[in-house]
Amino acid sequence: MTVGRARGSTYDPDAVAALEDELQVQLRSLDDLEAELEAGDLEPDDYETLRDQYTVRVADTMRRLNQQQGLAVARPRRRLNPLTIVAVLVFAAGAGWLLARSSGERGVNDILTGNISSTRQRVFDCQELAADQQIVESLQCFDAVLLEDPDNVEALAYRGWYVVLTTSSAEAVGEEEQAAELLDVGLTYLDRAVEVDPAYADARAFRAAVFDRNGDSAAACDEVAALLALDPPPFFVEQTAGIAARNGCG
Amino acid sequence: MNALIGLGFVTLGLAASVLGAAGGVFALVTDRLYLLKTIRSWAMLVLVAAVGAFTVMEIALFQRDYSLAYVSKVGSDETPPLFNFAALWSSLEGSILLWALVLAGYLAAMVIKFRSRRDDRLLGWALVVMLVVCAFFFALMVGPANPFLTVEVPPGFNGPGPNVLLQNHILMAFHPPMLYLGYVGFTVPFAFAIAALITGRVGEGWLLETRRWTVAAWGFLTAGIVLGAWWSYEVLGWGGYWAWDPVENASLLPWLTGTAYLHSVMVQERRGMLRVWNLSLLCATFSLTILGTFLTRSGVVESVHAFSDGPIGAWLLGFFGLAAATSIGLIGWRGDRLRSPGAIDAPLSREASFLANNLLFGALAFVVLLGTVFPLVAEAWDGTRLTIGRPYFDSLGRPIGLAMLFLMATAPVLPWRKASTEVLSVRLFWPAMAAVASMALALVLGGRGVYPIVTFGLGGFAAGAAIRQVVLATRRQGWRGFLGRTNGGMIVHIGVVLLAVGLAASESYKSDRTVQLAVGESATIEGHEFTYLEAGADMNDRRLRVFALIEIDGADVYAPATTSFRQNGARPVPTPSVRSGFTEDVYLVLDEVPDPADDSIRLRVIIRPMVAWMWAGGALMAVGTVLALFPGRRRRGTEPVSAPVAVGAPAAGPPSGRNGSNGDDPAATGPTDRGAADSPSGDAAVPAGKDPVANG
Repeated sequence: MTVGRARGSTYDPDAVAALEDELQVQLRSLDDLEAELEAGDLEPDDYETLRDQYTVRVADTMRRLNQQQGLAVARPRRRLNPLTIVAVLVFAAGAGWLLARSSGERGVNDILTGNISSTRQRVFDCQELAADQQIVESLQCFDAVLLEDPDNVEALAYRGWYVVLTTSSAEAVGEEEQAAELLDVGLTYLDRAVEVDPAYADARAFRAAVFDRNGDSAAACDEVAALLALDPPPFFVEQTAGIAARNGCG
Repeated sequence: MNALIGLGFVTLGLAASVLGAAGGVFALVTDRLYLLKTIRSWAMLVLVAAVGAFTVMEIALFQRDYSLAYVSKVGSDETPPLFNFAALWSSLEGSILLWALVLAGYLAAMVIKFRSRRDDRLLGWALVVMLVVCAFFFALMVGPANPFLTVEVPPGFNGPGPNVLLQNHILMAFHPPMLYLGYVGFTVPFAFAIAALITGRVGEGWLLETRRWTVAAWGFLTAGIVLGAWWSYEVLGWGGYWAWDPVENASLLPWLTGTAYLHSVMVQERRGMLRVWNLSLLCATFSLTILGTFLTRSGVVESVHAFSDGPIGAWLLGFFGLAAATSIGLIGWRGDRLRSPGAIDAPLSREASFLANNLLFGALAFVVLLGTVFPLVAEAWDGTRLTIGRPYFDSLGRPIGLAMLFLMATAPVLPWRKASTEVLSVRLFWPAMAAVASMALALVLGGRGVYPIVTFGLGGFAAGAAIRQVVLATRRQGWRGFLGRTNGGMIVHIGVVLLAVGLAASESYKSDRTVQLAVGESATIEGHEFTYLEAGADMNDRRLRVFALIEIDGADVYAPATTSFRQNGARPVPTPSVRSGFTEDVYLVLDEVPDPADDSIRLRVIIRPMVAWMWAGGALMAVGTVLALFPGRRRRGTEPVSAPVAVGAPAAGPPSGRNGSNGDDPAATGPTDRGAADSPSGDAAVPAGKDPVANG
């Protein structure tokens, strides 16, 4: 095997590997020469000539190998930039913080990461919580959905409606001012739901109920009219018939 | 009989792998290189064994040979032929069998491809590594994942068939094999990387040997992931396509490191830099495929993809540890030899942008890996059962993805070593115009929100840069301007842009509503009218399908359904119906099985814009990969245009003698071959500032 001289002053690991292979072959050939001399297969004169030739080649190979290895050592090692270290640490810390923020207890049927349960399913779960009278948990659940999907019309409408429903509790204990504030908050969510999707019947129905409760007949009638214009399922028509009657809607 | 023959083939595969690897090591250590030629015979024997075992299992499935435990678990009399064929990889043991078949195929392809280099030590060690990996997978089949175990079944026994979700869509026949072709394909460059470390030939030679193998594996993995997302969308009935499920993450991780490698390897080919990094990426990619296999098959995660439990997890984890430790040890051992001769000259250069690209891919891989394994580590540590929600992945993935889009636009136009602002302003003019036009169009069409609008803008920017490169290349080279790694890569970039834009639009502007409809009743959602016409059912020996006919906009009729499979204890699974279009998908799924006593249904309607763009993007990425596999234009040294290239770009290339062509042809050496075909911006052939596109 012969290997050409290393190119220029560039360190070439392939050339180093090839030179090492070549050196092994040459050293083995020297050993073979010894063996052949001892076995009488080679004349002493020929042995000396061949040994000298191989020795020169070994020396040349070693010199080129040393040259290559010298090139490898010549280049100073670079130190890591402190800014790089800081950036990596900041990124890792940020990832860790987000990880902590997004982690929760894993239930029996939950999977390790992510989920294939839809936003719709989560809204449904939030509604189930409200149905179980866990209103605070339900509102937190809706907030989590809205954090991820701020324009989710169902979450907006039902979060608003459940806030409206809590006003009864506040009124029952004489907290009229707090009840009014809660009503405003609920109505804000309902307004947002209608703004996102004016054709969402649930939000229209809830708004009609709030206006009815506030004694705003004109607004209630407008809302009922907007709802009926959507040709909603019969359930909504039945539910809002009382509002229409109470407010004298035409 | 099937059990006996099958086990015989598996045992033969194990024996051939072990003997081939041992023989190879003996030949290499004792320098009896002439013995290396025997590896070819062992490799072919491994292939025969794998094909034989696979064929026997398929025959057993079609014969409904329930004396095989595996067939009794995944076979059934009623499973249609296509799903019966695909049932082979629907559970643990069969999937390992498919893995072994693909691996044996790659091994045989290597032997054939490099048949003229039987005495090459690098190739010898690479084949030894391949055979060791083969031995591991055949050992799994002889041990903890034996597909040919027998079982006693009563007369007239009928198996349950594959998981119901795996026989609900034709994509199931293609998604796993594609994924496996990708996963397993990365074994080839890994084997060469280990061989390069062992032999000390850690220069650029082995990279050129494995370039096409890596691109092909990456293409298969990409196709497998996109098909998986499509399957999830069409079958699971949740209306999404990517859930950051741990098994999805497991497939994404090697894709991220593999993609990083495909970019950074160009820096090593051109500048001899990033040797340790590239070797680390390849070793990480292979190790992550084993980690992914562990996550899927060990039973540590619950997922729609995961199957099995039992002792195989320890085997896979052990092999993962072995692969990682071997890689780290060898890289450490060869540390001095891996030191790069060059350095990045300027932050505004092609190599600097590739480095930034790699940092982003590395960061995303870190994020996904941390999110995926942290709950496992926490549970192993103190029993805390955690789940990591998708906000973690989304909130970190989005900014990284946007930064990647930005680099996709700028990197292809940057020259090697350094760039002047004049050159950049000329080359980025049209891409920047495309970015502005994209954002303006999105706003005019009603697009809102910072994230999607920025995505559209950066998408236009990146697409503009890619199209510019393809236009330049085709002007110079005609239809061959589509071929080669760089030009094919630009087609892949356009595919990525389509995918990113589709992802941003479909996530940001989706509408998800549920309506209760009685027969004949209509509901209007997002401007579409949905009318419930009637319910119906069809039943066969295998399943009962209850559907509702829904008319959309008074024209097309769709039939979302729920399907109850006999094997599934009649538990219904949703079967969505999707109206796909260029601008939006209307996705219908029944929230509950229609009740015959009640004439109403709960219909969930999900409207997602531009979902089809993602599938089109995936297809374009596959096309681009195929184009990248073909050699681009190579110039003969006698062609006049070669001379200016060599003179004009002397600093860009490594010393002559390194094969810098974009093919594997060893004849295509020297600086003249690394000209236009490999130059993403055509900067070798087009002098700086003389951009034909920009200059009209």
